[in-house]
Amino acid sequence: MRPGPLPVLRCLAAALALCVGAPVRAADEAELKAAIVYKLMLFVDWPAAAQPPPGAPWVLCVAPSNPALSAFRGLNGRPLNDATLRLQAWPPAPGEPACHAAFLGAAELAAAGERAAAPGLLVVSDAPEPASAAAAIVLQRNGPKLGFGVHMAPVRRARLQLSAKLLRLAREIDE
Amino acid sequence: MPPRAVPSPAAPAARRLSALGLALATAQAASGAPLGPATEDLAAQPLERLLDVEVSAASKFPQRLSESPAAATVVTAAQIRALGHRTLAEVLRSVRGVFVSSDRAYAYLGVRGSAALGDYNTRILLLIDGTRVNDTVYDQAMLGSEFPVDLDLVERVEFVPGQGSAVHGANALFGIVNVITRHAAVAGGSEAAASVGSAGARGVRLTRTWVGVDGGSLLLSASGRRSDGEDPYYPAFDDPPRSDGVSRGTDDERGEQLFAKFARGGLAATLLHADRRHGLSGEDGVVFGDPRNEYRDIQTLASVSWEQPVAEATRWTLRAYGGEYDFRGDYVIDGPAPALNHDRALSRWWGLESLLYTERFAGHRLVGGVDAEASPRRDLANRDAGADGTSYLDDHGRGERLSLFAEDQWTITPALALTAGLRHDRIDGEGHFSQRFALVGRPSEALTLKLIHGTAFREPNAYESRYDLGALGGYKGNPDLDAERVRGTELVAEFRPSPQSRWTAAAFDNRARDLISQRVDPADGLLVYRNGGTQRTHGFELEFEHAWLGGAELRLNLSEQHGDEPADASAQPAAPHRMAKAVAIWPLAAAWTLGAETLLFGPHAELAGYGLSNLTLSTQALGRAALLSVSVYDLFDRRPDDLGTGSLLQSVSPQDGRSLRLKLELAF
Repeated sequence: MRPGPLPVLRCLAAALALCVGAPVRAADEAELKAAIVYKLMLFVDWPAAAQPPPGAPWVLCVAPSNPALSAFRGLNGRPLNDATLRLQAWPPAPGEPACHAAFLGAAELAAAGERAAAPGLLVVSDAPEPASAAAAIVLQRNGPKLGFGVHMAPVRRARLQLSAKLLRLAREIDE
Repeated sequence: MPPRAVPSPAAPAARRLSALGLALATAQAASGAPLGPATEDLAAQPLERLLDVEVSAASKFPQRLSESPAAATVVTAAQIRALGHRTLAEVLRSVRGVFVSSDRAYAYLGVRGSAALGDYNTRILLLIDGTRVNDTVYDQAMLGSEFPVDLDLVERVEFVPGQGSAVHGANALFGIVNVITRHAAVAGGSEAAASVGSAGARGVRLTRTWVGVDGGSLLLSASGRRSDGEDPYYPAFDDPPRSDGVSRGTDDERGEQLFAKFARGGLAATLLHADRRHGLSGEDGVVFGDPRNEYRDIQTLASVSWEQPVAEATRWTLRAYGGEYDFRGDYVIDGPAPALNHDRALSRWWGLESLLYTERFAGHRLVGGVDAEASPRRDLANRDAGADGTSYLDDHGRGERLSLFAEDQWTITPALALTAGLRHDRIDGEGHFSQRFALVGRPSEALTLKLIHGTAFREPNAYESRYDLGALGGYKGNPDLDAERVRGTELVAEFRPSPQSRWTAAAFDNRARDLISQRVDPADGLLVYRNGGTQRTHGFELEFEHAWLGGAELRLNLSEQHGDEPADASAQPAAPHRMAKAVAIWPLAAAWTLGAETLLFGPHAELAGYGLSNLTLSTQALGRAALLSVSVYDLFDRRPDDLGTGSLLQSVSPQDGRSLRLKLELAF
């Protein structure tokens, strides 16, 4: 009925031959931060006393005012070390389980004071240096990508063990 | 799928028509920004790869809801599981402004008052991972159990109300449904699922995922299901001693689905196949209660896409896609000598889309592309069974489409952005321009205001133009149909008093012209599609959403819409004026979750309004790798009636009453 294949198809087919190169996908920054925090938790060993009792979840705390909060909600129920991950408000209210990890912005980290130095608590922050010195792991923007650095002093204070893989992927390690 | 024919003597058709009234599709509002192709499940990616992902947000690419130039709704896999939804139609039913009905064979979507008898969801564009799925004979969006992907494999569903033709071309008249399937790397390992339910429903699924050391991943899944079906009662067929109106053993269904997804770096490929048969329990024109009456829908879809950076802050996507839809209807034609009749449609299409996206120019996010599609088969056939059966229709058609589109999201100030999109579609020699403008302002951190204006269109499809049964009667074609068009304006306010709550208010005004609707030609009593006059609909929606940190969620919405009295007195909307919906998900103690929804629909056409409540209790108490759920649908056994939207002739379609489902999903 109508003339056959459209000429443009041939142009595009020819263009396909040019496709080479390493593909990189893009993502929302908050989503990316949430995913990285979750993945980091897989490479951390908590002291036995801080681990959740059987059947209880791992608790990740984020302040309700944190702009990345909605991205973190997607982590609820994710598997983590034979249990699941649960999101809880930072700081924990009296009677609520203690946080195993907390993702804190600059203001939250400053306001947390000693609470951020509790044993068994992994603090991850996206605050700029030097405000982030109290955080064990700091997410940093490097051009269009995200990386992380490690502060060993807070790690030791919290009695956490970081896996060799995590340390290898860190952009800088501050003893 | 569609219509399938079911030839019917003219006299009964006319009788029912007067009782029923035709519904004209009404225009909808809103504008559609596609939220774009699939976002991967980031949390399932290896840490190394996350550190290599660029931070971005975009218009044809994933972006945040508050920034998107549309009033979109997103439903996630977790919500689908918690609420026990079995079909895509059930997922969409709780969305603001959406009305879903069923003729027991197919599900039909009405958006903001648009719903028409004889319309097979031709005004809704269905995408799977951003690729168009509506076939090229009926233009149908398959939303019920006819949807070709197992819902367990869906990562999320995006619904964008409004006119989306400026981005996606034809059929996006009232809304776009974009189904994002699970990324292959998400699961890792094997999964098995089994379910049993009322009316002899049972289903199984087996899924396996491989993740290679080079980052490639492959997901293969196979599902099968059977259902004996209900014995629905049709008052229209209650005519003793001929029949007591109960259609026994005719509502059965069987379906098989295969799904494969491969991803490696910027390369992604999907292949899926689905075959579904559903018995016809109450079609007009066929022998009532004969179990040989059935629809069969066979769908095969394939797409391959490649995305890569080509310059600073610039990415190029190339997508090749193709599909086949094979519809087979078996009808035992009612008459002095009942005879088995075969109805068939075959649609094949393939296309290539090239898309360039850039953030190179400060303050601008630009996307432009070209999409070319060829449909070499658009065939319709109808004949009586047997080697020497009479042939009533043997029509072969084809078509081509070439589309060019561009959209710019211009951030004028940090608090004000303008999105402007323009698309030109050349379809079988006919040209269409579609446009969309959206002004998005943020007077404060918590408040977003959006003013959206868009246009959309669709060409008459092969079924509407050429389904002509000649000597068999019942249906005749109309080759003179014109394209239908909609122009809509929408004002949206989103207020976020806290990161966990959101209020959305939307007011819309849609003006449609030349809407195609099915009617009976008084001259010969045959069913035929014709262009109608203009139709205006307007209304508003209000929604409140709250998500607690511990995982509890609440969504409440209200919608109201009104249309001008249609020029054709027999036309009236097949959707209610008012709807109210409440959806709650509540994590209970010790790994138990309760999902509940109550949906209230006002009266429409001559049908009474009704409320529907569904309850699902799910638990991981058996272990983290096992999810057990029990669902009760239509908890209060209201047994509502729907309009049998598929054909003008089937006036009322009884729905299932209270039913149960028990489902177990295992990962290992």
